[in-house]
Amino acid sequence: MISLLPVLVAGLLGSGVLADDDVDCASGRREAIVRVDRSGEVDPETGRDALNYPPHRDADFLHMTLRLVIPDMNVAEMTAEQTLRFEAIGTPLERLTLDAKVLDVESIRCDLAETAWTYDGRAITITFDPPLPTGEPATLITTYTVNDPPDGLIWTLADDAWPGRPAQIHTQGQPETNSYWFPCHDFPHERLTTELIVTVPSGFLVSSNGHLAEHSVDDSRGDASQETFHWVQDKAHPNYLVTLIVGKFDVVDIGSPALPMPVYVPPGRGPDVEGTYGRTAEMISLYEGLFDEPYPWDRYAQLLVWNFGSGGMENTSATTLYDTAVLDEQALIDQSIEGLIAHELGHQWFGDLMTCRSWEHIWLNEGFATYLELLWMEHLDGEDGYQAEAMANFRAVIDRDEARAPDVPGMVSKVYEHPWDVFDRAADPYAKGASILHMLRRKLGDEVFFRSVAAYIDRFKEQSVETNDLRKVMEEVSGEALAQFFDQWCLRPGVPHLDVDIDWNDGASTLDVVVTQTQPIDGYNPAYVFDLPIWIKESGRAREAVMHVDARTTRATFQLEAEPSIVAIDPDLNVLAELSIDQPVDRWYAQLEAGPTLTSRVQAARELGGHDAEATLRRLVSVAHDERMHDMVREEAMRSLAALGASGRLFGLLREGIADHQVRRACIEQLARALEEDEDVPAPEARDAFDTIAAHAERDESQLVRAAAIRAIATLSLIDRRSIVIEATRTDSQHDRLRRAGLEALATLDAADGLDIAIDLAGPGHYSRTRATAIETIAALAHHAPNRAYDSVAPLLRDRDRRVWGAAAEALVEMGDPRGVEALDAFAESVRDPIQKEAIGERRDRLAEKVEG
Amino acid sequence: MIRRRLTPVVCMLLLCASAQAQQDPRIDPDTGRATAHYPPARHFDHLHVRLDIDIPDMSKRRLTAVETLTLAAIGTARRDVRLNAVGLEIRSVEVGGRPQAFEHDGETLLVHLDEDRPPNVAFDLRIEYAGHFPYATGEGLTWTLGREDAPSLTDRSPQIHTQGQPQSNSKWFVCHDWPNEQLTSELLVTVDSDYQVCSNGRLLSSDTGPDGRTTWHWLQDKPHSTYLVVLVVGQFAVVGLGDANWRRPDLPLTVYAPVGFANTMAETFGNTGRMITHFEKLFDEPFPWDKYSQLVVRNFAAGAMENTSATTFNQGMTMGGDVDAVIAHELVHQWFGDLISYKTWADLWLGEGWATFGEALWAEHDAEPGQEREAYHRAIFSNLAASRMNTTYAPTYPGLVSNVYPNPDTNFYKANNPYSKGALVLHMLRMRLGDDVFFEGTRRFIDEYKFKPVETDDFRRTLEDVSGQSLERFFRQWVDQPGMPRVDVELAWDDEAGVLEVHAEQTQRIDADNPAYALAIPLYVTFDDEQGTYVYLPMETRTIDHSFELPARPTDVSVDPNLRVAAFTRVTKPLAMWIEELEHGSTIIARARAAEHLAPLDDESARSALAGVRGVSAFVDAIVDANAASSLDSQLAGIEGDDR
Repeated sequence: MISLLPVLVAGLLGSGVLADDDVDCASGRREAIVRVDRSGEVDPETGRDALNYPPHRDADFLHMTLRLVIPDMNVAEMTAEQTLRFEAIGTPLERLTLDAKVLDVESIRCDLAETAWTYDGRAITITFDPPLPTGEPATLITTYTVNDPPDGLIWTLADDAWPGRPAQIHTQGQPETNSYWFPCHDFPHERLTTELIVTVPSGFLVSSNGHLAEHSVDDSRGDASQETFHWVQDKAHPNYLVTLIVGKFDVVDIGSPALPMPVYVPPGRGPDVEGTYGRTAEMISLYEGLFDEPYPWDRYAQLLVWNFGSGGMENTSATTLYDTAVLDEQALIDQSIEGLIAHELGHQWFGDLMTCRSWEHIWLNEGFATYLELLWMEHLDGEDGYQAEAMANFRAVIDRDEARAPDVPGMVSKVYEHPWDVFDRAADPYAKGASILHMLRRKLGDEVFFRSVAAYIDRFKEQSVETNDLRKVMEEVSGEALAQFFDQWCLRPGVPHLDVDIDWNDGASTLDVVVTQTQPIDGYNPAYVFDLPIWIKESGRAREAVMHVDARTTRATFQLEAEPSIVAIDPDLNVLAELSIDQPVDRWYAQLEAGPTLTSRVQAARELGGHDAEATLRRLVSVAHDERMHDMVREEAMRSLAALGASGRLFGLLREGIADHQVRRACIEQLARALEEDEDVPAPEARDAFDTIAAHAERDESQLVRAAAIRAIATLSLIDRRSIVIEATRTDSQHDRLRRAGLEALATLDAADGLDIAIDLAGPGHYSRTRATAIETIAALAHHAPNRAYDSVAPLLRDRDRRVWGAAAEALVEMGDPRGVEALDAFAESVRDPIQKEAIGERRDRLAEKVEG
Repeated sequence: MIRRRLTPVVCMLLLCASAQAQQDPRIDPDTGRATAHYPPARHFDHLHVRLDIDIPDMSKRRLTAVETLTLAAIGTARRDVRLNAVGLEIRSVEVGGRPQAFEHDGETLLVHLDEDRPPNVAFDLRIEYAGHFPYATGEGLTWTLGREDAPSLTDRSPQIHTQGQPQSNSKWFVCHDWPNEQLTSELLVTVDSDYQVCSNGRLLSSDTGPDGRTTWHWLQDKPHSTYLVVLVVGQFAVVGLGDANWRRPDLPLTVYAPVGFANTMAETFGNTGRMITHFEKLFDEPFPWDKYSQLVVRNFAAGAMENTSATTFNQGMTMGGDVDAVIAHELVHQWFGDLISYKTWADLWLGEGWATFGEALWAEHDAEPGQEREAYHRAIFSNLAASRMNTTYAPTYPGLVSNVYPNPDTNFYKANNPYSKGALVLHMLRMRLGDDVFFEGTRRFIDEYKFKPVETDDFRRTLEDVSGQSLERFFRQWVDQPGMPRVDVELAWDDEAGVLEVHAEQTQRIDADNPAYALAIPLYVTFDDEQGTYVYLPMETRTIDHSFELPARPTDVSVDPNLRVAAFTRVTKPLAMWIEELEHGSTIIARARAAEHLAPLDDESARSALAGVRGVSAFVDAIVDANAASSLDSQLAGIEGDDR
């Protein structure tokens, strides 16, 4: 899964995680909901082990057939009959527990035994008399009703406020939410084949996993009023990847007869499919080639749905994406979403074909999918494209991840409150996972790395995997010992912080390098061990050296013929570390212009932000101006110029004109930052700069640049330019980018007249992300008209879209209106799902505390 | 390997001494370096080693050798070969007749090949070296001179035996001295014809030349870990165990006995054949090697060592005590440790735990009909007793599986002991999964991993696949976490309510590094005139109060009579229940625990009950005697107090 706005999902809900009792007294892991403090490894109160262990597998599930009947797409209710084929594991099965959240269960029967069952709204417990034997598959038939579930299945009804938008259903199973619409063992270590037979009113399309085995029109009433779609996924996959989508779409197939690749987009957007998704087939061949494994499924569908909770979700053979993930020609000049497309496609191997066995191993899904984005960029833009992505991932990790075991969990850790927490921890399975795979590639070499990943796939396809599985295969193929590598990067949190002192000793003609690890070092966090590459250029000749670092302080001396002109530390990103390098500024100048890699040039541009000198400014401007330079170096140079307070230089660059949209955007952002921080800019000069920014906000050809300029107006508090901002909130753009930038700017500017605009945009008839932004703006501006703000937000608690009611609940806390407590209480009372109830209760408590405090 | 068993007093001293060391063992404070041991890279696959060893004079403690190591690069083309060669005199290194550059610092031999070796292409590295073995250290190659006044010819003549575990075979041949590498081995040893030579695998030939010296040619053609390569040279009486009951000419069983002790030894080792048959059936896997020799050698530093197909024994080990247990232990190693080898010393318990557990399995099988369970329980209970002083905790002490150790030797002795605690873990898994699933898992584990080195996780995964159970928590608390649970259980019968009230508390150290154990403690409840019944006390917090509705007043509530949980329990219940348990406890463990409780009591009815059972079970009697003066708990109170 890729999340666009993690805050919306993560942290929203709280759950009592269930205690995993020791075996046979455990009539089931779900017998009692026990509230356990899982913020650390041990609950301090009771001494209980607070780690999350996988549940037992009561049975081996073989196949599910799910028959669903949806009489009316505008009534959020469906009837279901589920046939589960399964087999006892090891010993005869007396009792089976299935996750099933807020379903209305009617009947359960089994072909091999009498059954008795109980249901507590969270799980069904079924007892068999006699116990089901091993080695003989049993069949369980469950009939039930799905009644507008609070999670897992998102049912968007048609709404007068948004004419022409038909009703739609999509599902979201990750991490453990498919049990809101079918009973299952809702944990990723179980795999089964699935089959969905779905009857819907005519005119709606149904998509699920695998291939469409049959499609029939029910003409029994002579009106062809119902259609039935029969989808079959005949390769086993985990329950959380089962998907169902019902809606009306433009469907454009960009595939071939051998591999259909339909893209389902909102009605009318068909013509934009090719421009946005046209390279999917090329990505598939790239990955098939790199990993020597054919694309695993019957088709590859990409479906855009309303009110999607994240960016994309990699259901087997049928990825779900957010509603605006299709770009028109205007938007394509700014950006592509190929990173997202590559990510979800990458999951079809990593995550789907091999699935993390429990959530702490999620990096085996997300780290790989993120890494496959890098590989796509490498395919497009070569080594620079690859390094640019790798650097971005490194930076994302370094900025968040702290070496503070055991107080913070590592990337692979059983410490988490809720399964979705593992997606959003500081030791980020996405960015850190991808960085670790990148480091492994550097460590093993390209050929051995890709061969070992191919071997990993061969060994584990259609299975669930743990981190050790990857390590063991890589050790086998490469001969390297990787246990320490995996321990320090995967299990432990943090990254090394390195002070690197580089001294030239002219008398001895030696280069002395001292590397000091400055992050906390103790028994839980011993010194990191790695080989640190050093690229040295002396008298026109380049050489590569390696320093083995394994202690707090490590020294090395290199005998050279002459003083080197460049000493680049780790120019290929072999080590995920924060580097702080001390060397003469002349070497940084040389490295900025002639560093061996993009990384080293960006590093120089960044370091020079701390060297205030005219020579530095001149060089940074020259690099920022140079269109032959990679965007990333140019942007980093601008960032350094801003850090050095060089607003005049940045304005000069902007005024001269920057053709590249991304660089232009960066220039505006950095110029705004420099102007904001520097109070000594002469008024006329500032005036000119403001005018130019405003001009970009009004009519730059790039929406990205416009949005950045609108934000700049806000950060610079240019309240008199707010007509531009207000105009933006009325302008359609890709992802509603301008409208949302405008809303955010109104909040920042604290513009009283923004409130009405925000209230309007918070209503139905707008994209859910826009609505959430509008609600945040209402909260920010509420002090201008508290009652009006409250009256507009409180009703939104009852909105069907969780992003909207989540934002509304958060806004009530933010606004601090005492009436909100009661509203949240009433809301909590009305919901059926205990997890949702708890999440709302948590908001309520925060608000109550604020009101009383 | 069986080490000499330490007496409790020595153990206690060791434990106290180490308990005082407060320094975090995971890190060197000066440099910040982790102390954990990680396996070395395997840049070359070691396929085969052939050793041509020449022993000019058995009384001179010198040999020369030509070693041919067949290697193939792993992963990528490689040029540098790093090998262990401790104290050897390296004379030359060649490939295909071409001398190769090498550096030898007395421990590591670094060969710089004259060309890159592509991956997966085998080549032979020929090394000539000489060895001098003046000190009989018990590690590597021990060369013992004859003792003139000894009664047996075996002792009067010089003898060589080797001991590779943990990392000592590199003291007599050049190798990758770490258990993550398996290779086939071949020894050609030329020595005076008076001597026998034994090594792994099968004897291809023993030809005597015109100079009156004999070349013995042994071949182990199935891959085994480097540390399991063995060489024994001496004058022995070689006895075949292949009597009328042993009809397997393809699997010779021999004992290398001191001359003059052939018959005694044949008797001592007499059960070997039956044991092999039993374990083959239990593991559903034929004995893996070409022969099984058991060699009684001189000056052996340990108790016994499970070299593939050729176990060495300390003479003393064969003279008394439960020799069958030792024989069974080493024999089980031929599957666990040898066929299934472990990748690192951290995983040692996969060998030693199984071998120790195998002692109990043999006792169970070998017992008189009807006595099987008792025999098994006695063996398991003694492993629990051996862990009684284990009051260790994280992170100061390493758990059963841990790569934090000062040197590999200490793994064999540590408090979270691979032998006794390892056996208890296997016993608990058997109890938890049931015999069918547990042994099915064992068989599948062997099928999946034979001839491959394993990690503890591999064992867990196999058991999870077979059982469907989630065992990560079990392995974390019993295998990773140091220490043992100590549980106080108070039982009280509420006659009015018809309820058994149970209050339980885990009293071992519990803190952020040491969570409470998750336990399901069985209580076996018996009544006057009915069958007993089990109820389970689920516990995963420091304390718990639980009540069980019972149909009648129980005559006894016996806490965990099958040792489903390897916990030290201290039970509070009425004296009558203790006496009932002593007299009628459902297992020997229940009766032993009752005896342990009753023995130190100053109470007439206790004394008379104990007198009543005197002579029924020697095992129980011994426990009564050991506890008569004061309870073991009070003897240990000082130690435990430190850790609470």
